[in-house]
Amino acid sequence: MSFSVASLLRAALLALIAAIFVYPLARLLSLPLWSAQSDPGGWMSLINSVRFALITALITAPLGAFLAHEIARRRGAAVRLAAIGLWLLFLAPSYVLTTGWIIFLALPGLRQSFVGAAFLGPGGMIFLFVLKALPFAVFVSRATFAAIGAEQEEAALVLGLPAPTRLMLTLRLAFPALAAGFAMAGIETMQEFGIPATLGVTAHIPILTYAIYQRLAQVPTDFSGAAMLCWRLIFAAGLFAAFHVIIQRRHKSMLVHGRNRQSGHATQGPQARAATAVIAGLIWGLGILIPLAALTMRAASGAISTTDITGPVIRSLGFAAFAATLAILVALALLKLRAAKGLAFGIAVDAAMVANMAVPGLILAAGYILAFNNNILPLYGTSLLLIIAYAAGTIPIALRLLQNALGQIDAKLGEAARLHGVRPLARAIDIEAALLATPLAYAWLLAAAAIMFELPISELLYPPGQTPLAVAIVGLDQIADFAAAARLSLVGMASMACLTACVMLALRYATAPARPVAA
Amino acid sequence: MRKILASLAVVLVIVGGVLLWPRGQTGLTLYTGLDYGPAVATAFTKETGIPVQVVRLSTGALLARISAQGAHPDWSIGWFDGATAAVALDQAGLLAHGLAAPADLTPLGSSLTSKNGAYVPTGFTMAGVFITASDPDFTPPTTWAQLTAPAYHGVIGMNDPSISGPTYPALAGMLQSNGGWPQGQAFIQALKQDGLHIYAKNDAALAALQSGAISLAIVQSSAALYFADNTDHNLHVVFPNPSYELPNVIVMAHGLHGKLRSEATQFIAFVNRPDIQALRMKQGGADGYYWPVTDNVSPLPALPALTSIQVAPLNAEQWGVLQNSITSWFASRIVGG
Repeated sequence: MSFSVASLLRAALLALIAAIFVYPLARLLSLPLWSAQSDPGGWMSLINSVRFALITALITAPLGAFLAHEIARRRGAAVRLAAIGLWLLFLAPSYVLTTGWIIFLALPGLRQSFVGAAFLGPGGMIFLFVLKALPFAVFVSRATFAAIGAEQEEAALVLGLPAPTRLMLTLRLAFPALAAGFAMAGIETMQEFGIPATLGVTAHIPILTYAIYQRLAQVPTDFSGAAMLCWRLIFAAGLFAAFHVIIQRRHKSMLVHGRNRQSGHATQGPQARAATAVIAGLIWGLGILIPLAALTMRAASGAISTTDITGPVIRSLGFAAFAATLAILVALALLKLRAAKGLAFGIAVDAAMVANMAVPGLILAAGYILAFNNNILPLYGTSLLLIIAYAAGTIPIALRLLQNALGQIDAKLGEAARLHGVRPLARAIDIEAALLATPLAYAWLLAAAAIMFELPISELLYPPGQTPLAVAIVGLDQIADFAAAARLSLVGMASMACLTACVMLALRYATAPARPVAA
Repeated sequence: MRKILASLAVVLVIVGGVLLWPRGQTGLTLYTGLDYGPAVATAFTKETGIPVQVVRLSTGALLARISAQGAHPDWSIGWFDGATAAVALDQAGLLAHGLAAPADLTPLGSSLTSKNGAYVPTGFTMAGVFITASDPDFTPPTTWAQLTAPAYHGVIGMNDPSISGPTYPALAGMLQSNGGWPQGQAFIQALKQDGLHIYAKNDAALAALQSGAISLAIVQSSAALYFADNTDHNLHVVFPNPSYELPNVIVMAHGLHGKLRSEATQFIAFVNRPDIQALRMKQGGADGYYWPVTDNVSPLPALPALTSIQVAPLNAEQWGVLQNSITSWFASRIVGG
């Protein structure tokens, strides 16, 4: 039996990924098998979580697909407003949304008003869940709509197909992306804790992540009980992921191929313009301006303290950049391996990703302590482990965002290049990276922004003296220096916005058509 | 594309180099849930030359971090609110024993010490006090039992003990005032039926109080006094009869020996020194609003004299053992029910 160098490399990569990213979670999730089991409690929390996830996903997926279509293929002020609003919304962590709204509702009279009553309950929770999930749904669908070439639309027009049929054809092509948006919104909602901890507790609505955190609040922490509840979360999240996988397999389309011509940006029709303007208004008004204004008001309310603002922000930017790159590289490696290997490997990767995505950060981080706080591989207490854990937490997002984009590239492009003698590295950079530049940049930014404000993993794994941004914000909240906490949050968001602007500029430069050589 | 990728790679290598560059890992590692921890660590290093690496966390995250490390601790000293939590950690075998309490403890301070020396008290606050907005039409209650009176229906708020660490001792005090556990359940359930509001943490409870959604919040005395003294002068703090003491305690990791143990012992003695207590009060934010457990140290002027408060003890060993059962019951019946 002989092994090629490539297969050995693949095996080594798989082993590394398994040791660093699968083993810690598996170690923690297997705790209930060999420790005394506690009562997992009733099923109401699971039912509530699934209910919220389904409602959020059902609202977010079509809304996200509509916005993605308009942003990718239409032009106009409403479209630009919506696109910028979505980026700002994504950069705003749940903390900003919930804290901003709590400050806003503290205004006398407002809390007892209809708005206050509606917000501090299931309606408010769903509203915030949708706001948080919407950018994911848009960004995952946008790549698909952008990839659908002009030839598709032209062919439909030549054949005289009516508008509804043309729309159905486009939707048929976008169905995998729609399913990805649906799954991501559902899973993200199921594992969200900040929003339900703020509004769910007030409204007496038990959800599964609250039940998990209740186990983690025990002293000493009941990791085994929390892991047992995580299995329920993983199972429920698995249903969302399975839906996406089935749709992806059945409706996969090769949109990026040799004859692909980019479609231009048409002007919006009046109805689409009105709808985009309303949605953009809601995003800007309720998702950005109110919480940001409230936070800015709070930031301006206190005296300027001597709090170190630059240290945590710069540190977290560095962590985010490094861990997001690691997450993207691993996600690409897994997608490549999955394409090369069989169905069983694909299912195993999907299962691991669902588990990783569904499990709350504190559980994931505890797994890393159990796995690497020993004398064999003593990584605990180092920045490296924190970066690995950050990456582990965001690989599923990166993978889902890149999955559709990578799946749309016709394999014949690579084969043609290979037949022409183009080396693998050149194929990767000059063909795949060039075609995937936009989805790669988006996935990187989404992962980086998530890491920048990540709290639970940071709390359990940050090395002494290396305080990340989210821990610093919570620390200031604890000492009741709410103004400094608000200032730090705003500076963090502004820094992330600058990073985003730099990446988008670089992307524009990288994807600009080459100038024709003068004769 | 190649140029951009190469530039990005260079940037990442530099960032990675800075982040991953090995740092000296000597000296003590302090896990603190108290605001003044970092300032005390700096003062200790300045005086002794012993480096102290500080990990500042919420009490909940701090306890989860200690629990997850188990028998392989990466920390030397832990400092947080709640002897009940220290008892629970000790029962899990995670704490060193035989820590020396300060020689100049007050009688109340002596009553807060651990029998086996698993923790040392470094001050105390009151587990639960009433904070209200000053309103001539609202007469705040003065005892726990009065909370169920019709005048307070629907206007009382408290934090969730599963999310806000220091809320458990307040809940334990409420239960103790009403017959203990499980008899006290009836009182909490009556509060719930009367429209008890539950919030995640102090900031949400305070926002509700300021907005007029509630008229009274039950919070730790240090937070209440700090808010009333610094954040909103319109707030008024009432110490109920009785008010239950909540010590802040310092603990040492199990298995610490040799030089590290000696340095940790030095640090534990350091934190109760009068000049360091003055530093804790000055730089401690809300946590600086505590009563000392040693002689010759005065609390901040904003704190009322202890003689004006009916202080009652909360048996740490008794309530520490019950913590998990009580918070689970609260989560299922009061928050989720």
